[in-house]
Amino acid sequence: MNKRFLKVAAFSVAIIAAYTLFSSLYVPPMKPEEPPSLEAVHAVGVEGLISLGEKVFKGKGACALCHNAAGRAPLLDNIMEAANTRIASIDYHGSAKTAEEYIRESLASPSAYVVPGYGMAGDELTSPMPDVTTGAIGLSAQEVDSVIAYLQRLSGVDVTVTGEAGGIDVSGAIEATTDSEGAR
Amino acid sequence: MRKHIPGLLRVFALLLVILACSQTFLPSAFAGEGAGSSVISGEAAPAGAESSAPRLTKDDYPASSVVRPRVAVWMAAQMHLWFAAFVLAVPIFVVIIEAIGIVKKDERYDRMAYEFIRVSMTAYTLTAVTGVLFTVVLFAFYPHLMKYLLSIFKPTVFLYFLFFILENAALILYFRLWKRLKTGAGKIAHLCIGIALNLAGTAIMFVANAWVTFMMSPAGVDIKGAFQGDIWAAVHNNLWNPMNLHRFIANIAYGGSIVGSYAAYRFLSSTTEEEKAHYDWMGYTANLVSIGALLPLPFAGYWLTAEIYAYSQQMGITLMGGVFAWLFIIQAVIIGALFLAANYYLWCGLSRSEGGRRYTPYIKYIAFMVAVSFIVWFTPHTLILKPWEASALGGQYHPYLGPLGLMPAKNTAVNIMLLFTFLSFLFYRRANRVAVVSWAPYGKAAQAAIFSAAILNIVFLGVYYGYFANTVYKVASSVPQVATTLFAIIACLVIEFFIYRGAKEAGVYRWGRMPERSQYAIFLITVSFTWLMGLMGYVRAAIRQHWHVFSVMRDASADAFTPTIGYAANVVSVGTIIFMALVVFIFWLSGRKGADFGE
Ligand code: HEC
Ligand code: HEM
Repeated sequence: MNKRFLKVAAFSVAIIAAYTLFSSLYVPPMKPEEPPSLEAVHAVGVEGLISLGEKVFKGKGACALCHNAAGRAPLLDNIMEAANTRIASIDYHGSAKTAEEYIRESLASPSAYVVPGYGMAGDELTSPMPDVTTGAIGLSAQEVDSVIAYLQRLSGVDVTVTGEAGGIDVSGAIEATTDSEGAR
Repeated sequence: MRKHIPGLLRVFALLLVILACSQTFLPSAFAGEGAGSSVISGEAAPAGAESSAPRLTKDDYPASSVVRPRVAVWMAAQMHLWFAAFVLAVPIFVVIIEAIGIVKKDERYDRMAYEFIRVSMTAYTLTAVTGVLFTVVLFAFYPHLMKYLLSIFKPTVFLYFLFFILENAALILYFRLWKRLKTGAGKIAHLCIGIALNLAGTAIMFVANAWVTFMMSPAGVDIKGAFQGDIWAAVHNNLWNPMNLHRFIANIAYGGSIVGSYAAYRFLSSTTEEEKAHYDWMGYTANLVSIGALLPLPFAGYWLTAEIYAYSQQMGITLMGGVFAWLFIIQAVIIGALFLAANYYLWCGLSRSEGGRRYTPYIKYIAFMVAVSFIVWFTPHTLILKPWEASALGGQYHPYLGPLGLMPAKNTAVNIMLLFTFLSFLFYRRANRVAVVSWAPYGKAAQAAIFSAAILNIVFLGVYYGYFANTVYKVASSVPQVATTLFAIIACLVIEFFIYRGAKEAGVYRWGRMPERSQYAIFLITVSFTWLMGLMGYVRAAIRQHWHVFSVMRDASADAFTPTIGYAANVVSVGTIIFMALVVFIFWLSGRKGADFGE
């Protein structure tokens, strides 16, 4: 062990220490999202459904990841009204008749109608939003209901969904309810 | 004793690899591991659903009271990746150097190349050892995941070993025949063996990249993970090619930096002027290759990111938004440090020649520009604020700094930083030359015009797309900006080449006349690179979130959660120190007496 070696080693360790300290002192200690629970969820009553919906919206559903002020996706705080406008538009070719159906359709087959300006780069007819009932997000039927209930409450209208579908196992997120996002 | 360690290690590694290889093809051999808990429970794999990805529960993961399974796998993977990067990188570097030596007819290049392939031999052994270790911990702690992956990728595992054997054979030939094939056609044949060595090595990496990227962007399987039979589809998934390119380039940069550090250390320990000159020159050349490869790396990185977005918007936003926005700030700090160190090294190089003094006054301006670009680059966009901070600022974005955090501003900053680093290089090159062609002043004026126009264009594009175009088109600025940068660099280089053809020397040029502190810039580059690779490995795995195979096979283990950045930084730091210690050990082994070229 000569002096030169120690000097270089100390220098190297100092750099590593600097990066380590920067990462733990300067960078705020934030915990990434916890993995969604493997247990099936149950919600009781309309208020239960709405509070589950809020949790799903901000957590497992990853909705808030995109639907936020950064502008990657439209804000959803008044989606019921927006939905009615969408259905009435001449560009709308989906199958929804009511605002609730429109949201349901947006969740399971997002490309049924793509809000102008929000399509994939170079492909305005495909939505960047994944089918949230399957794939990586994989919401159960009840979770979908709960999110809709939450969005209805957010828009200030009466909550019309009941969450009767409830209690379906959501563990592996593999329960395919549509095939639109199928094998890539 | 020291003399026999490499040989012993190699025999040991070979045995291990054979063992691992046979085990891989008899996966049942691993089923017994992990205290019996690895037998798939009835629930996990309902009869008839064998081809789907298994759905696991906590009990399907063998527990260990000795190590934290994920940390063990993480460490083993990281060690293996670092060594793999090392042994893929150094031969690429060596072949490049050998070829330059042949073209320039300069013995020095050949000597340096040989010195390095020798180091590679031991590193190769350690790569194999860590690879086996990695395989063992993977199968021990994640038996079901490995079984599932093997059910799809088995034929490619065979390819992996085939390339491994080819690479090994080529490496041994390349090394052993170095002195016998020294001239004429023999030398060319030798170079070809080196190229074959690199092809095999790169092929190995591409195969492994297919496995890694499959876990991020699975293809060739249905929604439940059942394999559709087309293995090419699984291999050629969305992220495969971007990852191949990014890692390939990063490896060259990394290899150059390791060689650079070796040279820097030898420079510091040199006792004679001649030795000093040799290692100074070696450090400079290695650094040049490293920085040359560093320049296109951000672009490869952006391609990778763009493909991640194209594959899954959700994964893309997980990567660039939210918590990991901070990770890219750390990345920016490190890359900034890399560029500053590279510039600093070039500026120190001005002292090698008498003519260098002419350029020293400009250094402060370049330093200023690089620093400003750096600051813009690491200004965060989406600050994660406490609620009261957010309301005080009136939103997530800072009113003045917010716009600087936008991607177009960052792109602009990166491009400007690249251009000024290039300018440092041009000045360095010119330091000791005096042009003799009569049109030299016009040539220089043309270069200055191209350079200024490029900067203006980059700034214009950044401002236009960043602040006046629709959100969707914000990223569109990056392509023309990159094109501008590349064009300016190439055009200036071409003009430079002609201006200084047959140039006179301004004074004596002396390799070795470098301040000692300049060598620390090289150490900084190598350490930062290693650490950065570890950090990026973490984010690559982290954006899969709680999935083994994104959207197809869920991680149900106790370790499914994403660790915090701070925690990851600690793991990476410990790993870096272990790895560096092993590298020092390798250099120590290969530095033994009698192994020198001139023996
Ligand atoms: C990866 C990003 C992403 C995620 C995650 C995401 N969305 Fe979206 N969403 C979009 C984009 C982009 C659009 C606009 C394009 C379109 O109309 O499909 C959209 C559109 C919508 C619309 C129609 C909006 C309108 O104005 O017509 C609704 C409703 C919606 N999303 C609800 C949700 C809910 C609920 C979730 C969570 C379960 C969710 N989204 C998750 C990106 C996302
Ligand atoms: C100058 C810019 C960049 C440098 C120096 C750099 C460096 C590196 C290095 C050294 C690696 C490890 C490669 C390997 O393991 O062989 C890496 C991997 C990675 N980089 Fe970059 N990178 C740069 C830009 C980017 C950008 C802009 C992104 C995307 C936002 C990015 C995303 C990644 C990811 C996700 C990995 C993980 C791949 C892996 O190791 O498996 N990089 N980067």
